[in-house]
Amino acid sequence: MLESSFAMSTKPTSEPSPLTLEGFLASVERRAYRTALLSTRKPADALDIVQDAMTQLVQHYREHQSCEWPLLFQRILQHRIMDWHRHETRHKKWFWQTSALLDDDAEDEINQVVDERAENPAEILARASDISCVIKVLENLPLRQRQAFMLRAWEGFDVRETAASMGCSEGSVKTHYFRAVQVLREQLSKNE
Amino acid sequence: MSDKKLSPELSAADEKLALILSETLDKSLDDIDDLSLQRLKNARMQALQPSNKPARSWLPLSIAASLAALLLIPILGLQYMQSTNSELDLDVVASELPFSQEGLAQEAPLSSQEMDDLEMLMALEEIDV
Repeated sequence: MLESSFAMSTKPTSEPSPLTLEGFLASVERRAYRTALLSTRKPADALDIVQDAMTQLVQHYREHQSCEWPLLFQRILQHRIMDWHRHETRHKKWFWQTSALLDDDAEDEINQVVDERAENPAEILARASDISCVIKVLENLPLRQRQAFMLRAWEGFDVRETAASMGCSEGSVKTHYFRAVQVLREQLSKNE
Repeated sequence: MSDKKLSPELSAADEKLALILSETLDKSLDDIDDLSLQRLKNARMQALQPSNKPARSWLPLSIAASLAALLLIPILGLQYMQSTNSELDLDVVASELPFSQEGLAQEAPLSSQEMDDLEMLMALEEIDV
């Protein structure tokens, strides 16, 4: 599956062959940047995270088989994003600030209950095709839910691979993913 | 993206929503500005630079230097100990040489000829005095 998603994300451009490490990095760098940017909302930090992930992959896993690179890269990337969030949490605690970025599943679950009566499926699907709207609702997702959604829905990882990338149990992945889709549906239904 | 796996934990409607969101994210990749793309390319080149690979090549060298230092310390210590021991031995030898009467008294019993010689020497000393 990873090989298929690897090949799927490779575009027939003048970029290097995906069989090489450079080709692999070229094929995933934009997706990695988008993932990091959704988490950090800061282009410079997102770029740093992607570069760190690339450097670590090159330094430690260059000799691994190319079919292992996607999972390894995602694991490194997600860990770097987690590190960034921890750093931000410490920084904001030090300066007595609170942030919506730091919710990290600590929010009241009652707020995540979806009132399906208010939903209009056609409107939701229409908004789901709006790039700025989608990015906005994804940015507002709790970190772990966003990770689960990005890995499961966008990267096409299965539950086991997502759990390995996120460093949690498969049950947690299922829970995070389910909640993420529920929250996304709710946010898209009331998005204006 | 239609070949992505369907997740058993979602309903069909949620699955469709996830697929559309995924496609929208794919489209969002085209919205990344040229400057960011150029920076990404630079970041990739930076990561792939050969100088990055042996970035920690000094680690084995430092380990070797540490081991060498650990080996040198006992060797130097032993040399120092040997030199001090030899000096102590010389001191002991010097202190145990039978140049004094106490030293002579502690020696093995002398023969009668030697006793006679000693008595003569002592008698000569008394005469000199």
